[in-house]
Amino acid sequence: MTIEKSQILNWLNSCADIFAKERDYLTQLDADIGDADHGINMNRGFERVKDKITTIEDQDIGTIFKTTGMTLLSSVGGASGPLYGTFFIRAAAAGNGKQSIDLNDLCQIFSDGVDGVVARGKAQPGDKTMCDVWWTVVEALEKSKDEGQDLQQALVAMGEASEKGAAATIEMQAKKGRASYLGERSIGHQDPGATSSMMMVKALRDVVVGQA
Amino acid sequence: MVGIVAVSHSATLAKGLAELVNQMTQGKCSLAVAGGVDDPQNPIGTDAIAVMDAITEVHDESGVLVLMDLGSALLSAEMALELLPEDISASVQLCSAPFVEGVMAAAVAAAAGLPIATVKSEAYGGLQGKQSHLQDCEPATVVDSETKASDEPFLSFDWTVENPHGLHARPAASIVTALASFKATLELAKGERRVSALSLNSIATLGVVKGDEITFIASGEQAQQAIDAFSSLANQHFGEAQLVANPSAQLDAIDNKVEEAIDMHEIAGALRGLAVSDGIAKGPAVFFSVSMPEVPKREFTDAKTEIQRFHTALNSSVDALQQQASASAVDPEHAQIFNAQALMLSDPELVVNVEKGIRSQLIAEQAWLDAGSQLADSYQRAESEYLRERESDVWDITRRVMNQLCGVEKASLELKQPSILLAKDLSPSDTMGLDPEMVIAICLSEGGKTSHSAILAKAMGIPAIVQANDCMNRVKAGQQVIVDGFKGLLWLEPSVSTENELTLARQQWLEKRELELSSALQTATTLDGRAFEVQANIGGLSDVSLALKNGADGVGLLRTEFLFQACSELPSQQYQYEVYRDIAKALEGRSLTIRSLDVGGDKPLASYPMASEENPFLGHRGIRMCLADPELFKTQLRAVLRACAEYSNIQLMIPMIAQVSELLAVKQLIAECRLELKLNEQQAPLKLGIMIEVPAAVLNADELAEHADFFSIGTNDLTQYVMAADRGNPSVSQLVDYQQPAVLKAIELTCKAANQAGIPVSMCGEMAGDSEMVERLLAMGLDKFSASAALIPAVKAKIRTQNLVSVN
Repeated sequence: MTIEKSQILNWLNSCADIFAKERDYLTQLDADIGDADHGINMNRGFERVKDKITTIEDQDIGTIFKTTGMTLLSSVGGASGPLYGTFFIRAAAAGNGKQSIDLNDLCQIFSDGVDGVVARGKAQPGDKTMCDVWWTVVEALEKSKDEGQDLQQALVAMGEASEKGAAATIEMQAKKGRASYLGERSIGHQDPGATSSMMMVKALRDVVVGQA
Repeated sequence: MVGIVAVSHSATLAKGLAELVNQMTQGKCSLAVAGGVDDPQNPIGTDAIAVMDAITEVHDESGVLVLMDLGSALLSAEMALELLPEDISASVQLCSAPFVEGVMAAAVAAAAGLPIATVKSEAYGGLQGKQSHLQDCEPATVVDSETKASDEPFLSFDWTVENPHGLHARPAASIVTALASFKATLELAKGERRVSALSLNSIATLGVVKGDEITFIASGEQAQQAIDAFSSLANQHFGEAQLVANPSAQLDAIDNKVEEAIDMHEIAGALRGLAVSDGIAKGPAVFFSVSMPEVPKREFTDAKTEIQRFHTALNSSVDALQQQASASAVDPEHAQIFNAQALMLSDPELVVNVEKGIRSQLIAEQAWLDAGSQLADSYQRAESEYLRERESDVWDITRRVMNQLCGVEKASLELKQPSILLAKDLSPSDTMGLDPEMVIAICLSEGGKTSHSAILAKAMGIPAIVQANDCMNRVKAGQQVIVDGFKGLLWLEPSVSTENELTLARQQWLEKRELELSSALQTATTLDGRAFEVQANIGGLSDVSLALKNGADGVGLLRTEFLFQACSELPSQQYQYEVYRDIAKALEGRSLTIRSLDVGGDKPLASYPMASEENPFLGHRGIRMCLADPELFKTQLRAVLRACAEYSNIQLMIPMIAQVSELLAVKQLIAECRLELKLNEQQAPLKLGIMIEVPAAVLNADELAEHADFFSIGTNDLTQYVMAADRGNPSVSQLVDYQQPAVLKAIELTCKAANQAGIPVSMCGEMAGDSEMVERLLAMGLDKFSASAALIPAVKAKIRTQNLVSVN
């Protein structure tokens, strides 16, 4: 089983729909501990992505990711712009020339992307950032691969891992970004960036295996 | 030169910082900013692509220093570095210095030609001057700049600073630049304090002012050479020899605000005034004096006759002003000047005063002159400078009516050769009447910076200075003089070297202007190759040549009101046809968009009395009035159709459309006119478009687009209607801003509807001439721009820097 290019496109479109729907929720999360723009930013970024990918539907997955990354870079506005932008631009390498991807490819794509995000944001585990989701997601994927699970099982496990990763940020104290100004007061809130990452990860699962 | 890039979440902050830098470095710094994101509703944010573009813009082999405000600005800047090709990114450095102080310090160092390492360390030290002044934190950060005396043998040089502003940024930069290359330890001392002479920030912390004694200390291999270099620089007053010799000659930008406080003493060979319009010109002086007609010696008739006599003169003066307003050759904004004067004349209190005078047995002329003088006097005593400067407007209207009362023809100036005009003051109407080919500069002994004449001179591109005291007495008619509109100087006897400098500066100015104008004639094509038309808004045939000279790709708005306002009777079909035809012909094939009559209660017509309305802007105006009087409207439609049969570059545009039925009614009338004239669509292929200025039209844009051949967005009215705020009411004026998100949204909806329907969408309001808005408008999908002639070159230049792939 593989993930087809059409599913990748559906995934990105579905992210756009989710961020439009969850815009106010994400912004509210951000209002609690940040600068109240995360939902607005993600919504704007993926709206542009949605427009943009209609023009490159016939390209390979690598190009689609690269375009997505470049579009997010210049349209998101907040820190998540360079972060998600880097994610997709780095992820593009493993998708180059491909019309479909298997579990190995997916592991490579996500781990390259996450390496890029970590290098850009310089986050440590437990800093209450989107990386806390991405690390658990990549870990889950690697585990599924090593255990010889199929793609469907891997995606389901990945989705669960993302939920755990996001929930774990609630108890963390922020060390990065605007939320770090709050110190201990940041504890008790789920990190907005971690939440949007979780939404993206779950969206991929839902597009490929259907609603869990 | 090291380039500086400033990255901010806020476009406003970035722009403001650039403004400060340009003022500080006199535009010599190679600075680019990347601020905000392209989302009118949530404009705060950073954009890595914009940072990348900014770096590319200022990059050369000296490298680029990037400073950022905070948060995502850092990530976006790092991301930009990663995206740039290696050969560029290798010479780019990111710098954690404080944003505003750091950029300022870096910009001054970069403008002085210092290498990137020095520029960067200057940026880091950007807070030193402030900390040393406020003394609010541990001196540790400041001490770094102070050097400790060592035992090494040294040479020293003492100097008393004569620079009027002390060792401020520019002289300090000249010291650092001159000394940077010596192998030596170089320090500057004032009193007990001793700092590195190679750091601008450190020099700033010394706070050297005029009259201070400083010591330059050098030790090391090239100490002697450094001392020699410093002493020679000191003798040239660190690059400000001219300023030291003539402290008042150079009002630099930093001092502009305090210029009135600085004593205005004289410069050898020149008279000093205030610069109001850039440029330099040399020529023979001519005097222009307009005098008030004398009150005739005649017997008082009777109150009724005198009052009537006064009203006749008053009315024809008001008419003349309104006519001048609508036919204003320079810019519709300037039409407001004449409208304002017309309002002043219609002031009921003024009229009451005159009538009172007449009832006390004064003849009309005397009563009017008394009332006018009294009003001028009250303006002269006003507290605000702005109001005081309106005094000349009062004298101007007083003279207009006096001319009418006494039967004096309007004074006009016939020049036989290009000359420099000297006058006590010029009224707006006098200024408008000047021929820029013959009047090559203006020098006034009075007048103010914000006076209407100054604004008009600027718009007409004539170099001008005002408040050149005594210029009327010190200059003889025919004497060769030079006006320097940059510095506000009238040169009577310049030294040979000054004259050479001025000649050179004039040539540079002319070349720059020539370049701007010649590039204006080129098509405005974006970087990715799409050409956009930038057209002119005009009020009549006389505006066409200026528009074409400024590179107009046709006329996007011909106001037809002037045809109706200029006559006491309604213009005939034949007359209108001839005017439209002549303008279309003069455009040599470029398109001409004629707007049908747009008047209402706010712009009354002498030839067409209209009921006064409580709320004219929401009343019977534009197409509403035209549809109510089909005969009036059809006369215009027939004239346009006839002209179109000869010149197919004509199209028609209907103002104030709010609903589809109005457009259909216009179509019906045009169809009737076609039948009457026997002109079918092939013979007169008149395209029919509408102005989008009523919010209802925005909301109906999809349906309107099905019936219209094009849209043209009138941002002035659209803004005031969307925001429900009167342009003329100062207490709500902040709402009247086309950058309001709601207005931008309305424009976006309009563009979208037009794009979807496949019809062109143009813009003919003030916003179209704002080059700062070009990027945003292109992103929204605007197809054409139409602006005042003077603004066209800048709009075209801006379009040429755009890349649609990136704005979309």
